[in-house]
Amino acid sequence: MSKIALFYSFNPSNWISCQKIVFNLLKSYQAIEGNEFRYYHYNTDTAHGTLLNHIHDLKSWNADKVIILDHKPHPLPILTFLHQEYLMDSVRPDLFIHVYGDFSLYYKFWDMCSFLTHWKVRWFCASERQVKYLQQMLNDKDSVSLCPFPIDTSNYHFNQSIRDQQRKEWGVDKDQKVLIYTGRLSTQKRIHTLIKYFSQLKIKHPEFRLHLYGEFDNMADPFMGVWKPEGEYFAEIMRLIQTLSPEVQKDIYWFGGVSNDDLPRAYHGADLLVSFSVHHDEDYGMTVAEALSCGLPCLLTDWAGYGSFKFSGIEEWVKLVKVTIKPHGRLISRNELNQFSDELIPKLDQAPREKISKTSLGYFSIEKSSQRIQNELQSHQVQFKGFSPLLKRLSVAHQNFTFPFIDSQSKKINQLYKDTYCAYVRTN
Amino acid sequence: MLEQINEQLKNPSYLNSNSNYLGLTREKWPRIGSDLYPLTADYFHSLNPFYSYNAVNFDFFASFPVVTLRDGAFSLGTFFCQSLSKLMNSEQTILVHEDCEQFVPDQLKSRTLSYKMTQPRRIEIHEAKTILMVGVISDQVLEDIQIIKEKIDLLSRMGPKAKLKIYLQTRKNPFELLYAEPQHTNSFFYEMIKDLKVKPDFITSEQLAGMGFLKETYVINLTSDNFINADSFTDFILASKGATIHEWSEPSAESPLLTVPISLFHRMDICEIKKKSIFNELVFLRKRFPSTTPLFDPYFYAQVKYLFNRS
Repeated sequence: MSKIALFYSFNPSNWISCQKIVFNLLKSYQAIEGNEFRYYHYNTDTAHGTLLNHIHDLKSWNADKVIILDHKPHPLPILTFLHQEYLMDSVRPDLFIHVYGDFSLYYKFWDMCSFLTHWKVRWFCASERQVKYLQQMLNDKDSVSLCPFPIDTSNYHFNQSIRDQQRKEWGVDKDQKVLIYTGRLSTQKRIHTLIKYFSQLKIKHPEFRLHLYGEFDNMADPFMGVWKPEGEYFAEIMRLIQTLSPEVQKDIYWFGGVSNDDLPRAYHGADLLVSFSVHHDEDYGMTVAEALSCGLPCLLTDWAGYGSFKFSGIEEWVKLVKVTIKPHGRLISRNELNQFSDELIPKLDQAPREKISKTSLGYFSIEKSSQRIQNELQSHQVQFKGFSPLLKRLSVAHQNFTFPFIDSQSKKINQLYKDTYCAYVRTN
Repeated sequence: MLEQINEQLKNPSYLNSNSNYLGLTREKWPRIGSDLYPLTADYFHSLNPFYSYNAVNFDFFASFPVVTLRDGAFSLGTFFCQSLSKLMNSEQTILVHEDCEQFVPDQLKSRTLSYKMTQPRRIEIHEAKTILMVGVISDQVLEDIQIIKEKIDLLSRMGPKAKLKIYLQTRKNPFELLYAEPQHTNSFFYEMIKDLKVKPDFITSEQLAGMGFLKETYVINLTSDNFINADSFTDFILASKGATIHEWSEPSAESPLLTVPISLFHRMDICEIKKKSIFNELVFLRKRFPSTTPLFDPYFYAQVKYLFNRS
């Protein structure tokens, strides 16, 4: 039996997908039998005195595993305090750190964690490409394990009656098809590409509608030196919409942000999830996981976490469009997009939604996640061998340059970017 | 004017686009905007929302054919006083908030229109699951205690299960040099909070920024009037996420000259200026109080406030 200390924020994250992720991960841990758990709240409002009390408590309890469950704030204070508390001890708890997409925002802080070489550390990544990405940052590739973020099957599984009901609510008849996008309406999510794709699709397939769920943001593309104030991307998209024909415009539906409870119904009612995201922190793709859990076929970019979703048995229902890193940015292959679209669109009526749902849930249900975590917790952990020179380069670049991934002379993507993000693209 | 606006909408030239912002580093800008963060934080729409007190380089500012001034009445009136002759020589179209249009000089009415924000979809306060009161504790912003009391009285109409959140951070008085820290607002405001029947959650700037899915949220703006700031960033960001802003309205039955979508949930209605101009009285005040820094002259400020309240 293990004594497991979990650090996370008891208050839901501002980042919508992380609200579900942390909650579902917690359920995965709690489903592991034969262990004792203690939960410690840690957030930006946690005073150092409180944190120290947490550390004292877990030490007096003799915790043998410490889990960093949440994505922010950065756990540097937790790790530092732990290290100080156990400085003179030869026996220390094993550390397990769940890695999120915002790992790339904190290179400086990870660089300050060199003391972790005194600890046994296991890193959990949500997708195969994120594993590759993180392995570049560490001297020991074997300390990284795959642990996809779990989905709660009670909310996400295919149900034909929900589909029928949702389509009735939308006023969609059986001959019409619905493309859906859910997530932030953001530059790196390539909403403009999605809208252009939809307008082209309408020429051959006028029966389609596009449903967009999400809120606009101003994240732009800071790694590429692109900053936008709040509202600018909305204005750009509206100008793009104005250039489309009225027939296309009338079939674009904006739903804004909706609660998590409404999303399963939306996935059920739709016929195809489309996402052309090239977002730098796309470590996983929670929306894709949820959509697949509801039996929805997907047309996606083959970028970062999305690359993990082409499961055996449903390959023809999950299409991944190649992304290449070019001097001026990430390029989505138009040829592959057209090819995969032409393959997928005509046969959407035959999509085996029950099979897509079951296959996907077999991969990232809470039960499956729990088994994976249990295997890792029971495995022998090895001493952390430190961060690689790449992480140091990234830390220095981010501290010294406003645009660390852009060459200041040519204004093109530099080698540091390619070295970092080559893990996120298809190699062949 | 409308042609110029339509041309701007089709072929935009952006005053506050990231690469084109005034040609001056931010360190040289007046601190007024930062003093009232987040009310005065930047946002974007196609008609160049901007604050007149940030127009430190007038020629650069005037090179943009259409500008929407987010100013409250005080800085707007002062801007017109200081820059009237330059504005008369430019061909810019200026949009001012409807509540401040009485400060537009007659000489500029041919190139000035008024705007207000409207929301086609609004909920009533009793329908809201969350009531959010937003403001900053600054004597100049929360000046009129009677208005604050009236807004708190609105809470009597909230639903029995609705939650109350309050965003209230202490800020400096933006138009004051010597006693910039708030002197009296803290104490009387906390006195009023004591009488609230509903227990509120006080939220931080980070929590405010992270709020999402606000279609069942009703926002009450505690800034007393549009004297300090007319077009608030917090209203913009909350309305963009679907919240109903108490101080706004549904689109009026009378059609505006032009409507510009600002987000999925709100828009800017542009109309002609209707109010009689009191700019000449403002000019008289300026001559009576010829301060070199009118933005920080307490006597001038008080007189303009009196003029605004009377109009």
